[in-house]
Amino acid sequence: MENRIYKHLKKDILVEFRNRSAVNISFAFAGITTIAVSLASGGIRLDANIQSILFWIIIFFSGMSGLAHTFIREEEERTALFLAIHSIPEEVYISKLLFNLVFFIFIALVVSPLYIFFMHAIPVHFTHFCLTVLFGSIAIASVSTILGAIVSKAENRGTLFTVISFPLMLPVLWIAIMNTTASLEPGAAPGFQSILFLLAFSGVIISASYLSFKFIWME
Amino acid sequence: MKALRFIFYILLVVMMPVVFYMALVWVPPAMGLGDASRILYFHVPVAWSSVLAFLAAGYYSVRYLAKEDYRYELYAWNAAFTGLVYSTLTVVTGSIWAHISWNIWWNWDPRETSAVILLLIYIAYISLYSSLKERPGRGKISAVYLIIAAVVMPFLVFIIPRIYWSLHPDMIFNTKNKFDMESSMRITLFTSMGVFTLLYFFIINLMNRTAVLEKKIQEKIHDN
Amino acid sequence: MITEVIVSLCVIWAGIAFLIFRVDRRISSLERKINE
Repeated sequence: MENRIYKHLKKDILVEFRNRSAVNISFAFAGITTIAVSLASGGIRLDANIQSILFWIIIFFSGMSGLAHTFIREEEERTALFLAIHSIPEEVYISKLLFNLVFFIFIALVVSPLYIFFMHAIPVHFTHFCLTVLFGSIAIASVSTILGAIVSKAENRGTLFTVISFPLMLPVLWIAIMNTTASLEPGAAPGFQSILFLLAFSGVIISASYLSFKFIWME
Repeated sequence: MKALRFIFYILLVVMMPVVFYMALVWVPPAMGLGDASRILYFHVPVAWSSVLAFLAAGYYSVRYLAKEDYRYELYAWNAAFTGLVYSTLTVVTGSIWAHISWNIWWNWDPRETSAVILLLIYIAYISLYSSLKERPGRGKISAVYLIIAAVVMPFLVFIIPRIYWSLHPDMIFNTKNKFDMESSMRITLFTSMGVFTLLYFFIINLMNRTAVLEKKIQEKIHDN
Repeated sequence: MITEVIVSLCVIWAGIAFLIFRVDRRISSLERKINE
Protein backbone atom coordinates (compact mmCIF):
# COMPACT_ATOMS: atom_id res chain seq x y z
CA MET A 1 0.00 0.00 0.00
CA GLU A 2 2.79 2.45 0.85
CA ASN A 3 4.29 1.84 -2.52
CA ARG A 4 1.05 2.68 -4.29
CA ILE A 5 0.55 5.77 -2.18
CA TYR A 6 4.03 6.86 -3.12
CA LYS A 7 3.24 6.32 -6.80
CA HIS A 8 0.04 8.35 -6.55
CA LEU A 9 1.87 11.13 -4.81
CA LYS A 10 4.62 11.17 -7.38
CA LYS A 11 2.06 11.25 -10.18
CA ASP A 12 0.21 14.15 -8.55
CA ILE A 13 3.36 16.18 -8.08
CA LEU A 14 4.49 15.52 -11.63
CA VAL A 15 1.14 16.43 -13.13
CA GLU A 16 0.81 19.59 -11.08
CA PHE A 17 4.30 20.82 -11.82
CA ARG A 18 4.17 19.97 -15.50
CA ASN A 19 0.90 21.75 -15.85
CA ARG A 20 2.33 24.62 -13.85
CA SER A 21 -0.63 26.95 -14.03
CA ALA A 22 -2.26 25.94 -10.72
CA VAL A 23 0.89 25.85 -8.64
CA ASN A 24 2.28 28.97 -10.20
CA ILE A 25 -0.95 30.85 -9.72
CA SER A 26 -1.09 29.90 -6.05
CA PHE A 27 2.47 30.98 -5.40
CA ALA A 28 2.00 34.18 -7.37
CA PHE A 29 -1.22 34.88 -5.48
CA ALA A 30 0.53 34.42 -2.14
CA GLY A 31 3.39 36.69 -3.12
CA ILE A 32 1.22 39.35 -4.68
CA THR A 33 -1.21 39.63 -1.77
CA THR A 34 1.68 39.95 0.66
CA ILE A 35 3.21 42.73 -1.37
CA ALA A 36 -0.17 44.38 -1.90
CA VAL A 37 -0.88 44.42 1.83
CA SER A 38 2.55 45.80 2.56
CA LEU A 39 2.19 48.45 -0.13
CA ALA A 40 -1.27 49.48 1.04
CA SER A 41 -0.13 49.84 4.63
CA GLY A 42 2.57 52.15 3.25
CA GLY A 43 5.36 51.12 5.55
CA ILE A 44 3.47 51.91 8.75
CA ARG A 45 4.45 49.60 11.56
CA LEU A 46 1.27 47.81 12.50
CA ASP A 47 0.40 46.23 15.83
CA ALA A 48 1.35 42.60 16.35
CA ASN A 49 -2.33 41.79 16.51
CA ILE A 50 -3.15 43.32 13.13
CA GLN A 51 -0.05 41.85 11.58
CA SER A 52 -0.93 38.32 12.56
CA ILE A 53 -4.51 38.78 11.35
CA LEU A 54 -3.28 39.95 7.94
CA PHE A 55 -0.73 37.14 7.82
CA TRP A 56 -3.29 34.42 8.37
CA ILE A 57 -5.79 35.98 6.02
CA ILE A 58 -3.16 35.90 3.28
CA ILE A 59 -2.33 32.28 4.09
CA PHE A 60 -6.02 31.33 4.19
CA PHE A 61 -6.83 32.80 0.79
CA SER A 62 -3.68 31.47 -0.85
CA GLY A 63 -4.69 28.06 0.36
CA MET A 64 -8.23 28.53 -0.92
CA SER A 65 -6.97 29.12 -4.42
CA GLY A 66 -4.85 25.98 -4.54
CA LEU A 67 -5.87 23.33 -2.06
CA ALA A 68 -9.09 22.10 -3.60
CA HIS A 69 -7.34 21.78 -6.92
CA THR A 70 -6.02 18.21 -6.54
CA PHE A 71 -9.52 16.77 -6.57
CA ILE A 72 -11.02 19.27 -8.95
CA ARG A 73 -8.34 18.43 -11.49
CA GLU A 74 -9.32 14.76 -11.38
CA GLU A 75 -12.91 15.72 -12.11
CA GLU A 76 -12.11 18.24 -14.80
CA GLU A 77 -9.73 16.00 -16.69
CA ARG A 78 -12.13 13.10 -16.26
CA THR A 79 -9.54 10.91 -14.59
CA ALA A 80 -11.55 10.54 -11.39
CA LEU A 81 -13.48 7.53 -12.63
CA PHE A 82 -10.31 5.76 -13.68
CA LEU A 83 -8.72 6.47 -10.34
CA ALA A 84 -11.81 5.23 -8.52
CA ILE A 85 -11.77 1.93 -10.41
CA HIS A 86 -8.05 1.51 -10.25
CA SER A 87 -7.29 2.10 -6.58
CA ILE A 88 -8.89 1.84 -3.18
CA PRO A 89 -10.25 5.11 -1.73
CA GLU A 90 -7.99 5.17 1.34
CA GLU A 91 -4.92 5.20 -0.86
CA VAL A 92 -6.27 8.06 -2.88
CA TYR A 93 -7.12 9.99 0.25
CA ILE A 94 -3.72 9.56 1.86
CA SER A 95 -1.81 10.47 -1.26
CA LYS A 96 -3.91 13.57 -1.84
CA LEU A 97 -3.53 14.55 1.80
CA LEU A 98 0.24 14.23 1.57
CA PHE A 99 0.26 16.26 -1.62
CA ASN A 100 -1.78 19.02 -0.02
CA LEU A 101 0.42 19.05 3.07
CA VAL A 102 3.57 19.43 1.00
CA PHE A 103 1.97 22.05 -1.21
CA PHE A 104 0.64 24.11 1.65
CA ILE A 105 3.84 24.00 3.65
CA PHE A 106 5.56 25.29 0.52
CA ILE A 107 3.05 28.15 0.33
CA ALA A 108 3.69 28.98 3.98
CA LEU A 109 7.42 28.88 3.28
CA VAL A 110 6.94 31.39 0.49
CA VAL A 111 4.59 33.69 2.38
CA SER A 112 6.32 33.86 5.77
CA PRO A 113 9.74 35.19 4.71
CA LEU A 114 8.13 37.63 2.30
CA TYR A 115 5.78 38.81 5.00
CA ILE A 116 8.53 39.14 7.59
CA PHE A 117 10.64 41.04 5.08
CA PHE A 118 8.03 43.45 3.75
CA MET A 119 6.01 44.05 6.90
CA HIS A 120 8.91 44.30 9.36
CA ALA A 121 7.17 41.67 11.45
CA ILE A 122 10.17 40.13 13.14
CA PRO A 123 9.03 37.35 15.45
CA VAL A 124 10.45 37.63 18.95
CA HIS A 125 9.86 33.97 19.76
CA PHE A 126 11.12 32.50 16.54
CA THR A 127 10.65 28.76 17.21
CA HIS A 128 7.15 29.40 18.39
CA PHE A 129 6.34 31.35 15.25
CA CYS A 130 7.72 28.58 13.03
CA LEU A 131 5.82 25.86 14.88
CA THR A 132 2.57 27.83 14.68
CA VAL A 133 2.97 28.34 10.94
CA LEU A 134 3.86 24.69 10.41
CA PHE A 135 1.06 23.17 12.45
CA GLY A 136 -1.47 25.77 11.35
CA SER A 137 -0.66 24.88 7.75
CA ILE A 138 -1.02 21.18 8.51
CA ALA A 139 -4.42 21.78 10.11
CA ILE A 140 -5.67 23.91 7.20
CA ALA A 141 -4.40 21.40 4.64
CA SER A 142 -6.07 18.48 6.40
CA VAL A 143 -9.44 20.25 6.58
CA SER A 144 -9.29 21.36 2.99
CA THR A 145 -8.38 17.94 1.59
CA ILE A 146 -11.70 16.40 2.56
CA LEU A 147 -13.60 19.57 1.70
CA GLY A 148 -11.86 19.68 -1.68
CA ALA A 149 -13.06 16.14 -2.32
CA ILE A 150 -16.59 17.21 -1.39
CA VAL A 151 -16.52 20.34 -3.49
CA SER A 152 -15.09 18.64 -6.57
CA LYS A 153 -18.41 16.86 -6.97
CA ALA A 154 -20.43 20.08 -6.96
CA GLU A 155 -20.99 23.07 -9.18
CA ASN A 156 -19.51 26.59 -8.70
CA ARG A 157 -16.54 25.01 -7.00
CA GLY A 158 -14.39 28.04 -6.25
CA THR A 159 -16.93 30.07 -4.35
CA LEU A 160 -18.54 27.06 -2.74
CA PHE A 161 -15.20 25.93 -1.36
CA THR A 162 -14.69 29.20 0.46
CA VAL A 163 -18.23 29.09 1.85
CA ILE A 164 -18.03 25.54 3.19
CA SER A 165 -14.49 25.67 4.46
CA PHE A 166 -14.61 28.94 6.36
CA PRO A 167 -16.71 27.83 9.36
CA LEU A 168 -14.65 24.67 9.79
CA MET A 169 -11.33 26.46 9.55
CA LEU A 170 -12.28 29.21 11.94
CA PRO A 171 -10.98 27.47 15.09
CA VAL A 172 -7.63 26.90 13.39
CA LEU A 173 -7.37 30.48 12.19
CA TRP A 174 -8.39 31.77 15.58
CA ILE A 175 -5.78 29.83 17.50
CA ALA A 176 -3.11 30.50 14.90
CA ILE A 177 -3.77 34.25 14.94
CA MET A 178 -3.63 34.35 18.73
CA ASN A 179 -0.44 32.39 18.77
CA THR A 180 1.26 34.43 16.08
CA THR A 181 0.39 37.61 17.93
CA ALA A 182 1.97 36.20 21.05
CA SER A 183 5.09 35.21 19.18
CA LEU A 184 5.46 38.66 17.59
CA GLU A 185 5.24 40.53 20.87
CA PRO A 186 8.09 40.78 23.33
CA GLY A 187 7.33 39.20 26.65
CA ALA A 188 7.08 35.76 28.15
CA ALA A 189 7.23 32.91 25.65
CA PRO A 190 3.74 31.57 24.93
CA GLY A 191 2.88 28.03 25.99
CA PHE A 192 2.68 25.02 23.74
CA GLN A 193 -0.95 24.09 24.46
CA SER A 194 -2.23 25.87 21.38
CA ILE A 195 0.23 24.05 19.16
CA LEU A 196 -0.97 20.85 20.72
CA PHE A 197 -4.50 21.99 19.94
CA LEU A 198 -3.64 22.46 16.27
CA LEU A 199 -2.07 19.02 16.18
CA ALA A 200 -5.07 17.38 17.87
CA PHE A 201 -7.42 19.20 15.50
CA SER A 202 -5.62 17.90 12.42
CA GLY A 203 -5.47 14.41 13.89
CA VAL A 204 -9.21 14.31 14.52
CA ILE A 205 -10.05 15.74 11.10
CA ILE A 206 -7.72 13.33 9.32
CA SER A 207 -9.15 10.28 11.05
CA ALA A 208 -12.76 11.37 10.47
CA SER A 209 -12.09 12.01 6.80
CA TYR A 210 -10.12 8.78 6.42
CA LEU A 211 -13.21 6.92 7.57
CA SER A 212 -15.76 8.84 5.52
CA PHE A 213 -13.77 9.44 2.36
CA LYS A 214 -15.05 6.36 0.55
CA PHE A 215 -18.61 7.65 0.70
CA ILE A 216 -17.66 10.70 -1.34
CA TRP A 217 -15.24 9.03 -3.64
CA MET A 218 -17.32 6.08 -4.77
CA GLU A 219 -20.09 8.19 -6.25
CA MET B 1 -48.49 5.17 20.10
CA LYS B 2 -51.65 7.15 19.74
CA ALA B 3 -51.84 7.75 23.48
CA LEU B 4 -48.24 8.85 23.52
CA ARG B 5 -48.89 11.35 20.78
CA PHE B 6 -51.93 12.63 22.65
CA ILE B 7 -49.84 13.18 25.80
CA PHE B 8 -47.25 14.95 23.67
CA TYR B 9 -49.81 17.36 22.23
CA ILE B 10 -51.38 18.01 25.61
CA LEU B 11 -47.97 18.77 27.09
CA LEU B 12 -47.15 21.11 24.26
CA VAL B 13 -50.48 22.93 24.27
CA VAL B 14 -50.78 23.24 28.04
CA MET B 15 -47.20 23.93 28.90
CA MET B 16 -46.51 26.63 26.32
CA PRO B 17 -48.88 29.17 27.94
CA VAL B 18 -47.58 28.07 31.34
CA VAL B 19 -44.06 28.91 30.21
CA PHE B 20 -45.24 32.30 29.02
CA TYR B 21 -46.88 32.96 32.34
CA MET B 22 -43.87 31.80 34.31
CA ALA B 23 -41.37 33.77 32.27
CA LEU B 24 -43.34 36.99 31.92
CA VAL B 25 -45.19 37.21 35.24
CA TRP B 26 -44.17 34.68 37.85
CA VAL B 27 -40.39 34.98 37.85
CA PRO B 28 -38.86 38.00 39.59
CA PRO B 29 -36.59 40.09 37.34
CA ALA B 30 -32.89 39.40 37.72
CA MET B 31 -30.82 41.74 39.81
CA GLY B 32 -29.46 44.71 37.91
CA LEU B 33 -31.04 43.77 34.62
CA GLY B 34 -34.68 44.47 35.24
CA ASP B 35 -37.43 43.03 33.11
CA ALA B 36 -35.09 42.60 30.17
CA SER B 37 -33.71 39.48 31.83
CA ARG B 38 -36.92 37.75 30.80
CA ILE B 39 -35.51 37.38 27.29
CA LEU B 40 -33.29 34.68 28.78
CA TYR B 41 -36.20 32.27 29.15
CA PHE B 42 -36.83 32.36 25.41
CA HIS B 43 -33.36 32.95 24.10
CA VAL B 44 -31.66 30.02 25.81
CA PRO B 45 -34.26 27.43 24.73
CA VAL B 46 -34.04 28.64 21.14
CA ALA B 47 -30.24 28.34 21.26
CA TRP B 48 -30.63 24.91 22.77
CA SER B 49 -32.97 23.93 19.92
CA SER B 50 -30.42 25.02 17.35
CA VAL B 51 -27.82 22.76 18.98
CA LEU B 52 -30.42 20.01 19.05
CA ALA B 53 -30.93 20.51 15.32
CA PHE B 54 -27.19 20.13 14.82
CA LEU B 55 -27.19 16.86 16.78
CA ALA B 56 -30.23 15.63 14.85
CA ALA B 57 -28.62 16.47 11.51
CA GLY B 58 -25.43 14.62 12.51
CA TYR B 59 -27.41 11.62 13.72
CA TYR B 60 -29.47 11.39 10.53
CA SER B 61 -26.32 11.74 8.43
CA VAL B 62 -24.66 8.83 10.18
CA ARG B 63 -27.81 6.78 9.76
CA TYR B 64 -27.92 7.68 6.08
CA LEU B 65 -24.33 6.61 5.45
CA ALA B 66 -24.92 3.37 7.33
CA LYS B 67 -28.26 2.44 5.80
CA GLU B 68 -28.74 4.43 2.60
CA ASP B 69 -32.43 4.87 3.27
CA TYR B 70 -33.51 7.86 1.18
CA ARG B 71 -35.61 9.12 4.08
CA TYR B 72 -32.58 9.96 6.23
CA GLU B 73 -31.25 12.25 3.55
CA LEU B 74 -34.46 14.28 3.69
CA TYR B 75 -34.45 14.18 7.49
CA ALA B 76 -30.90 15.50 7.66
CA TRP B 77 -31.80 18.35 5.32
CA ASN B 78 -34.86 19.23 7.39
CA ALA B 79 -32.84 19.20 10.59
CA ALA B 80 -30.29 21.52 9.01
CA PHE B 81 -33.01 23.86 7.76
CA THR B 82 -34.68 24.13 11.16
CA GLY B 83 -31.23 24.64 12.59
CA LEU B 84 -30.66 27.51 10.21
CA VAL B 85 -33.89 29.21 11.31
CA TYR B 86 -33.29 28.56 15.00
CA SER B 87 -29.72 29.77 14.99
CA THR B 88 -30.78 32.95 13.18
CA LEU B 89 -33.33 33.49 15.95
CA THR B 90 -30.66 32.81 18.54
CA VAL B 91 -28.34 35.38 17.04
CA VAL B 92 -31.08 38.04 16.76
CA THR B 93 -32.46 37.61 20.28
CA GLY B 94 -28.95 37.30 21.64
CA SER B 95 -27.93 40.59 20.13
CA ILE B 96 -31.05 42.27 21.55
CA TRP B 97 -30.05 41.00 24.95
CA ALA B 98 -26.44 42.04 24.48
CA HIS B 99 -27.62 45.51 23.61
CA ILE B 100 -29.50 45.77 26.87
CA SER B 101 -26.91 44.32 29.20
CA TRP B 102 -23.64 45.41 27.57
CA ASN B 103 -24.95 48.34 25.56
CA ILE B 104 -23.43 46.92 22.40
CA TRP B 105 -25.13 44.90 19.69
CA TRP B 106 -22.25 42.59 19.02
CA ASN B 107 -18.98 41.85 20.80
CA TRP B 108 -17.94 38.31 19.83
CA ASP B 109 -18.72 36.80 23.15
CA PRO B 110 -18.00 33.02 23.02
CA ARG B 111 -21.67 32.13 22.98
CA GLU B 112 -22.32 34.60 20.20
CA THR B 113 -19.41 33.22 18.26
CA SER B 114 -20.50 29.63 18.54
CA ALA B 115 -24.06 30.57 17.50
CA VAL B 116 -22.73 32.40 14.44
CA ILE B 117 -20.53 29.46 13.51
CA LEU B 118 -23.48 27.11 13.76
CA LEU B 119 -25.37 29.49 11.48
CA LEU B 120 -22.50 29.53 8.98
CA ILE B 121 -22.27 25.74 9.00
CA TYR B 122 -25.99 25.47 8.23
CA ILE B 123 -25.70 28.01 5.42
CA ALA B 124 -22.70 26.13 4.03
CA TYR B 125 -24.55 22.82 4.22
CA ILE B 126 -27.61 24.15 2.46
CA SER B 127 -25.60 25.82 -0.30
CA LEU B 128 -23.56 22.64 -0.74
CA TYR B 129 -26.73 20.57 -0.96
CA SER B 130 -28.33 22.88 -3.49
CA SER B 131 -25.25 22.97 -5.70
CA LEU B 132 -25.13 19.17 -5.79
CA LYS B 133 -28.41 19.10 -7.69
CA GLU B 134 -28.91 16.16 -10.06
CA ARG B 135 -25.96 14.26 -8.58
CA PRO B 136 -26.71 10.72 -7.41
CA GLY B 137 -24.34 11.03 -4.48
CA ARG B 138 -25.89 14.21 -3.15
CA GLY B 139 -27.09 12.82 0.15
CA LYS B 140 -23.86 11.01 0.93
CA ILE B 141 -21.57 13.91 0.12
CA SER B 142 -23.53 16.39 2.19
CA ALA B 143 -23.81 13.83 4.99
CA VAL B 144 -20.03 13.61 5.09
CA TYR B 145 -19.87 17.40 5.33
CA LEU B 146 -22.20 17.39 8.33
CA ILE B 147 -20.13 14.69 10.02
CA ILE B 148 -16.91 16.66 9.52
CA ALA B 149 -18.67 19.73 10.91
CA ALA B 150 -19.84 17.72 13.91
CA VAL B 151 -16.25 16.67 14.52
CA VAL B 152 -15.08 20.30 14.47
CA MET B 153 -17.83 21.62 16.71
CA PRO B 154 -16.48 20.40 20.10
CA PHE B 155 -13.20 22.17 19.39
CA LEU B 156 -15.07 25.41 18.92
CA VAL B 157 -17.24 24.96 21.95
CA PHE B 158 -14.46 23.93 24.31
CA ILE B 159 -11.66 26.09 23.05
CA ILE B 160 -13.34 29.43 22.43
CA PRO B 161 -14.04 30.18 26.12
CA ARG B 162 -10.33 29.74 26.76
CA ILE B 163 -9.44 32.29 24.12
CA TYR B 164 -12.15 34.55 25.39
CA TRP B 165 -10.84 34.75 28.94
CA SER B 166 -7.43 35.70 27.79
CA LEU B 167 -8.82 38.50 25.66
CA HIS B 168 -11.54 40.02 27.84
CA PRO B 169 -10.81 39.11 31.42
CA ASP B 170 -13.03 41.93 32.74
CA MET B 171 -16.31 40.68 31.35
CA ILE B 172 -17.48 38.05 33.78
CA PHE B 173 -21.14 38.51 33.12
CA ASN B 174 -21.74 34.98 31.91
CA THR B 175 -20.45 32.97 34.79
CA LYS B 176 -21.83 35.32 37.37
CA ASN B 177 -25.29 35.11 35.92
CA LYS B 178 -25.08 31.35 35.81
CA PHE B 179 -24.14 30.79 39.40
CA ASP B 180 -26.31 33.43 40.99
CA MET B 181 -29.50 32.11 39.49
CA GLU B 182 -32.39 31.78 41.90
CA SER B 183 -34.30 28.53 42.05
CA SER B 184 -37.45 30.09 40.55
CA MET B 185 -35.41 31.30 37.61
CA ARG B 186 -33.85 27.91 37.16
CA ILE B 187 -37.23 26.17 37.22
CA THR B 188 -38.59 28.56 34.62
CA LEU B 189 -35.57 28.15 32.39
CA PHE B 190 -35.69 24.37 32.47
CA THR B 191 -39.44 24.21 31.89
CA SER B 192 -39.05 26.53 28.97
CA MET B 193 -36.22 24.46 27.54
CA GLY B 194 -38.32 21.32 27.87
CA VAL B 195 -41.30 22.86 26.12
CA PHE B 196 -39.17 24.29 23.34
CA THR B 197 -37.60 20.86 22.86
CA LEU B 198 -41.10 19.41 22.46
CA LEU B 199 -41.93 22.16 20.00
CA TYR B 200 -38.76 21.42 18.06
CA PHE B 201 -39.59 17.74 17.79
CA PHE B 202 -43.14 18.63 16.75
CA ILE B 203 -41.89 20.83 13.91
CA ILE B 204 -39.19 18.47 12.69
CA ASN B 205 -41.63 15.57 12.76
CA LEU B 206 -44.10 17.59 10.68
CA MET B 207 -41.43 18.51 8.17
CA ASN B 208 -40.06 14.98 7.92
CA ARG B 209 -43.47 13.47 7.26
CA THR B 210 -44.27 16.04 4.61
CA ALA B 211 -40.92 15.51 2.89
CA VAL B 212 -41.36 11.73 2.75
CA LEU B 213 -44.90 12.13 1.40
CA GLU B 214 -43.67 14.58 -1.21
CA LYS B 215 -40.97 12.16 -2.36
CA LYS B 216 -43.40 9.26 -2.55
CA ILE B 217 -45.95 11.22 -4.55
CA GLN B 218 -43.27 12.44 -6.93
CA GLU B 219 -42.17 8.87 -7.56
CA LYS B 220 -45.77 7.83 -8.21
CA ILE B 221 -46.24 10.62 -10.75
CA HIS B 222 -42.99 9.58 -12.35
CA ASP B 223 -44.11 5.98 -12.66
CA ASN B 224 -47.40 6.77 -14.35
CA MET C 1 -37.22 47.28 29.12
CA ILE C 2 -40.19 44.99 28.57
CA THR C 3 -40.39 46.25 24.97
CA GLU C 4 -37.23 44.37 24.05
CA VAL C 5 -38.63 41.20 25.56
CA ILE C 6 -41.75 41.53 23.46
CA VAL C 7 -39.72 42.30 20.34
CA SER C 8 -37.59 39.23 20.79
CA LEU C 9 -40.65 37.10 21.45
CA CYS C 10 -42.15 38.39 18.21
CA VAL C 11 -38.94 37.50 16.39
CA ILE C 12 -38.92 33.97 17.80
CA TRP C 13 -42.53 33.34 16.94
CA ALA C 14 -42.08 34.77 13.46
CA GLY C 15 -39.31 32.24 12.90
CA ILE C 16 -41.35 29.34 14.16
CA ALA C 17 -44.37 30.48 12.16
CA PHE C 18 -42.15 30.61 9.08
CA LEU C 19 -41.27 26.94 9.57
CA ILE C 20 -44.90 25.98 10.03
CA PHE C 21 -46.05 28.01 7.03
CA ARG C 22 -43.43 26.27 4.95
CA VAL C 23 -44.90 22.91 5.87
CA ASP C 24 -48.34 24.28 5.09
CA ARG C 25 -47.25 25.42 1.64
CA ARG C 26 -45.72 22.06 0.86
CA ILE C 27 -48.85 20.26 1.97
CA SER C 28 -51.02 22.41 -0.26
CA SER C 29 -48.77 21.71 -3.23
CA LEU C 30 -49.11 18.02 -2.43
CA GLU C 31 -52.88 18.37 -2.41
CA ARG C 32 -52.76 20.00 -5.82
CA LYS C 33 -50.64 17.14 -7.15
CA ILE C 34 -53.00 14.51 -5.78
CA ASN C 35 -56.03 16.21 -7.27
CA GLU C 36 -54.52 16.33 -10.72
